Amino acid sequence: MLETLVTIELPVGESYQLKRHRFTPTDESLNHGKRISIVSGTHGDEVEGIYVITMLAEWLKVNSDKVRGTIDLYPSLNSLGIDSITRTVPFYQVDLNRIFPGNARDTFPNQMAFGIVEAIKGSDIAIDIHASNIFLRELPQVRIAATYAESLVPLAKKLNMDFIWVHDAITVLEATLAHSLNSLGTRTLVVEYGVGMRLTPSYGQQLLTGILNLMASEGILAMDTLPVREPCYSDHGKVYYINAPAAGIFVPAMDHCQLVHAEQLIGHIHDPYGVHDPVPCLTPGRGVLFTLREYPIVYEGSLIARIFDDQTGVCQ
Amino acid sequence: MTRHTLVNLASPCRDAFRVEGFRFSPRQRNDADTSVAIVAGLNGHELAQMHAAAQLVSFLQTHQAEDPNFITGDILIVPAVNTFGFNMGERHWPLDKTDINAMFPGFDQGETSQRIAHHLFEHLKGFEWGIELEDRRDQYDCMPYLRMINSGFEDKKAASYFGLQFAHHRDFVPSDAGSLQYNWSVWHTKSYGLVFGNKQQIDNNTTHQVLDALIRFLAKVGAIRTKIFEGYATNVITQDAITLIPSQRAGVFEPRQRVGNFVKKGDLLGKVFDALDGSIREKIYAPVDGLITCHYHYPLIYQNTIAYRMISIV
Ligand SMILES: [Zn+2]
Repeated sequence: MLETLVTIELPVGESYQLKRHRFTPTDESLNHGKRISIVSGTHGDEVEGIYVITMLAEWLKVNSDKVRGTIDLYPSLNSLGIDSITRTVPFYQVDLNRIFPGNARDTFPNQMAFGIVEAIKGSDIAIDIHASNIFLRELPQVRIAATYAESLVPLAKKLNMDFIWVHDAITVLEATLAHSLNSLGTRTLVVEYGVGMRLTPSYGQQLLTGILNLMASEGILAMDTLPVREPCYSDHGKVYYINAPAAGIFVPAMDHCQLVHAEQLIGHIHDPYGVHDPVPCLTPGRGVLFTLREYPIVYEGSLIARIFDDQTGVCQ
Repeated sequence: MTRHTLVNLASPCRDAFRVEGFRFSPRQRNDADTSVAIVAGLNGHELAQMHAAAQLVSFLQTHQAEDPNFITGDILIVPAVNTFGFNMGERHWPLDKTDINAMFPGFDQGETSQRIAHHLFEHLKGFEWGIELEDRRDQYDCMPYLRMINSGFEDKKAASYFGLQFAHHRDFVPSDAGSLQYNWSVWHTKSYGLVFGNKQQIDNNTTHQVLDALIRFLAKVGAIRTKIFEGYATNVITQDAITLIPSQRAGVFEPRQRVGNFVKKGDLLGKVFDALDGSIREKIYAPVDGLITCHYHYPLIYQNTIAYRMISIV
C-alpha cells in the first residue's frame, strides 16, 4: 500500500510528500508484529539505496505470501534533492542528515526531519542506506557508533556486507537519522557503499540478499535464511586516513577496494601542467582499503583512501 | 601596516589559494596595550563583511600615516578567508562544499578545509579579543547585532563598547563547535560575532554603522588612540526577550514592516499570497509589542518559516 505520511506546502503550486510503500501479510493473522523500515535518499546525490529498495519492492510483490511482519519502504526521503541531484535540501542547502530529530514548528528541512522520524519511529529495525558522495567509492559496509555496537553488530553481520566499521561517537553525528532512531529504541543500521550519482548493481544485489536474510532470520519473512559473507569486523583495529599530499589529478593504481599490504601504491597525483613529477600515494600498512577516491581533482588534504588496519587478522 | 599571507595552498589548475592578513602595531610592538583580531569572509557570500573589514584596513592605514602614535595595540585584520568562494559566488569551499567556519580549530593532517582552518587559526590564537564578522546563514534582513556564546569566556561589559543597539547572549549549540568564534573562546580569546548584512549584498549605511562600531571598540579597548562619538547603550538580550513569528502558509511573502520599527500587538507585519492565483493566504500580525529586529528577506516563503523576529522588554 502506497501511503503519503507527511505533506508540506511549498511556495509555488507543489507540496513535499513523504511517501512509503508498506507491505503486510495478506492475512493479518499471520503478522508476527515485527516492523522494519528500509530508507534511502537522505542525500539527493546518492541513488544506490533507491535501487535496492526498488528491487526489494519488486521481490515483495512476487513473494507477498512470505511476509510475516510490517515492511516499510521509503526510497526517497529528500525527494526534491533526489530529483535534482542536490545532496542537501534544495533552497536551504541544509544536510538533512545533520538536523534530526527535526522540529515541526521550524524550517522546511526541520519539518521534513520531524515528519520522517514520526513516520519511522516504533519500527523494531531500520536500515538507512547511503551511497558515498561523488568523491569517494566505498566497499559495502555497515557503520555503527560505538555506543550502540553491542546491540547492532549481531544484526549487521546478517546484512551480507564486506566490512563493519564501529566508529567513535562524535557530536555532529548525534544529529543523524540513525542516532535519532537508535535513541528512540529502533535498532538502526547505516549501510554505505558505492559512489555518489551512480549505481553499482552488484553491490545492490549483495545488499538485497543481506536484507532478505536479515528479515528471514528476524521472522519477518517466512523463508530459510540465505548464505551471506562473513564481514570483516574487529573492534580492535584502527582506521588510517590517507589524504592527498599535493594538488592535482589523482589517478588510482587499483580499480576497487581491496586487501592491501604496506607500501602498496594506491595511485599518483599528477600535475596537470606536467611541470612537477607525479606524487605517489602509498599505503601506510596492511589492511582493508575500504574507501578509494573516485573524483580525480584533488587539493592538498583531499581524502584519497581509508584503510582498516586489521590487527587481529580477521579480514581475509 | 604589514601585509602577510597567512594561508597559501596550491590548486590543481587555478591560481593558488591565499588568505591575506593586515597587521597594525605600535612603533614598538612590545608597547602594545592589547591585541585584537578581526576576521571576515569565512564564507564566500559575506561581501558586506569583507568590505567593512577592508574599509577598516584603509581607515587604520590612513590614520597611522598621519599620526605615528595612532596605533596602540596589536591588530590583525583578515577581510576575506574563502577568496575562492568569493570569486565564483560560492558560500563554501568550492570543490567539496565544506564550510570553513565549521572546521575550527582545524587539523593539519585532515581534509583541505580543516587544513585551511588549522593554518589560519595558528595566526589567530593568543589575541586578547577576537571579532568574527558574518552574515546570517538564512534569508534574513536583520539589524546589526553582536552575538555572544555562553562559554564562560565572553565579556558582556565590553560588548557595549561597540555601541550597537543589541547584543544577543545565547547558549552554546552543537553547530557552534567548529566555528571560529567558539574556538577562540576555547583558546581564551574574548570573542564576539558581529552579524549584519544581506547575503551577497553591500549596503553603504550598514557598512558605515559597522565600521563605526569597530572603530569605537578598538578605541575603547585601547588598540587605537582616536576621538569617537558614543554609540547606543547596548541592550543584552537573551532568548526570553525574543519572539519568533512564523508564517503558517507558503507562497509569495510581502513584508509590511522594516527592521528597526516598533510595532504594537495586532499590527499587520506581512502577507503571504498564493503564488499562482494571487489570493491572500495569510496575514501575519504582531503577537506582542516590540521592536522588529529581523524579517524574512526573500520573495518566496515556505510553511512555518520565521517571517519576523521581535524583541520585547521582559
Ligand atoms: Zn548519504
